Amino acid sequence: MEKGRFEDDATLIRSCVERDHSAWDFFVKKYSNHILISIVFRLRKYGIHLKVEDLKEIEQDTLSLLWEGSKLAEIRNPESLRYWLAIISGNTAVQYMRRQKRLDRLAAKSLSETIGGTEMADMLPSSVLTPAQELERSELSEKIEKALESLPDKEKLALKLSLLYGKKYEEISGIMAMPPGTVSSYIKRAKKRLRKKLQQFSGF
Amino acid sequence: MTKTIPKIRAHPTENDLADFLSGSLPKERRDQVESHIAGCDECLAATVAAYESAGPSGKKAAFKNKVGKYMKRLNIYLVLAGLSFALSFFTHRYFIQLLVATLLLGIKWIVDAKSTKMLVMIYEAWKHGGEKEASRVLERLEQPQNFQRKF
Repeated sequence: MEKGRFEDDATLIRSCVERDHSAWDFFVKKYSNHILISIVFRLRKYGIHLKVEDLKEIEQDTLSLLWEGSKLAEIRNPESLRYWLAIISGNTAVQYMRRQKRLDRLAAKSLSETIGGTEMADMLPSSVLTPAQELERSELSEKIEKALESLPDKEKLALKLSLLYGKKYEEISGIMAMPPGTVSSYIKRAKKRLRKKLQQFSGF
Repeated sequence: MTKTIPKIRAHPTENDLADFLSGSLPKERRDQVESHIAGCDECLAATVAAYESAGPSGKKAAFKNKVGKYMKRLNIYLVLAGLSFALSFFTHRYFIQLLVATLLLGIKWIVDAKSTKMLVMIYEAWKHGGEKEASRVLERLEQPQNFQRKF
C-alpha cells in the first residue's frame, strides 16, 4: 500500500468517506492504537478497568460506527481528528457499559462529593455512620456544590481539573489554552472564594 | 441570580469538544463550551479523557507503543544479552557484573516474549472467569486477525 497517498488526515478522511477500502485499511492501522488508548482512558474516569475482550468489542463497535455508520463523515475539522476520535471512542465505550448494565450508576466524579466525603463514606460500612452523621455529610456536599456554583466558570473549571483530576498547571494551561501563571492565579482565587463561601454557609 | 453568559443546557457536540481541545473553536463558542464543561461532570470527564489520550501525554504513550513494537521485532533484550555476554570476555574487571547483566537481560527477554504474555493472559482470564473464559481467550488468540478483516 502506498503510504504517501494518505499522508494528511484530511485526504485520509475524505477517501474513507468516499468508501475507499484501502484508505479505511490504512485508517484502521494508523488509529486503532489511539482508539484503544482512548477507550481505556475514558473508562478509567469511571473507575472501570476493562477486560481485554470488552476492550476489543468496544473497539469493534467504534470502528463499525465510523465506517458502517458513516460517522466519519460528520467530522468538522480534520485537524482535531485525534481529539474527535478519542471522544467518539469514549462515548462508544460509555454506551457499551450502559448497554451491558454492568454499571448501575455510571457517573463521572463530582467535586462536591469528592471533597464532601460521600465517596469516603461509601467505603465505610453503613453501620459506622449514624443517620445523623450521614445527613451531615450529604448536607456538607450540598453546601460545597452550592459554593462551587457561585464560582466563575473559568475558576471552577481550573479548580476541578486540579482537584478532581489531579492535573498539573501545565496540563490545565494546555486544556484551557491559557498561560500556566494565569491558571495558578485562577486556582488560588477559586480556593479563596470557596473558603469564604463555605465559612458563610456554616455561619462562622 | 442572573448570569451574563448564556449557558448551553444541551451538551456540546463531539465536534465542539474536539475543536475546543485543539484550540480551533471561535472565541464565543469556546467560552460557551468552557462554561458547560465547568458545570457538567460527564462532559468534563469526556474532555479530560480525550485530552489525556490525544494530547501531549497520549501522543507520548502512542509513540512509546510504536517504539515498543519496533523493539519487539529487533528483540532488543536478546541482542543486549548477547552483547554483554561477549563483552564479559574482553573486560576482565567487570566479568561478573556483565554476566549478571546477561542473566537479567535474558530473563527480561523471556518474560517479554509473546508466548509468555499469552500464558499470562490466559491465566488472568482463568482467574477471573474460570475455564470458560480462558478457553474463549485461547480461541481468540488462535485467530488474532479476525476483527480487522471484517471491514
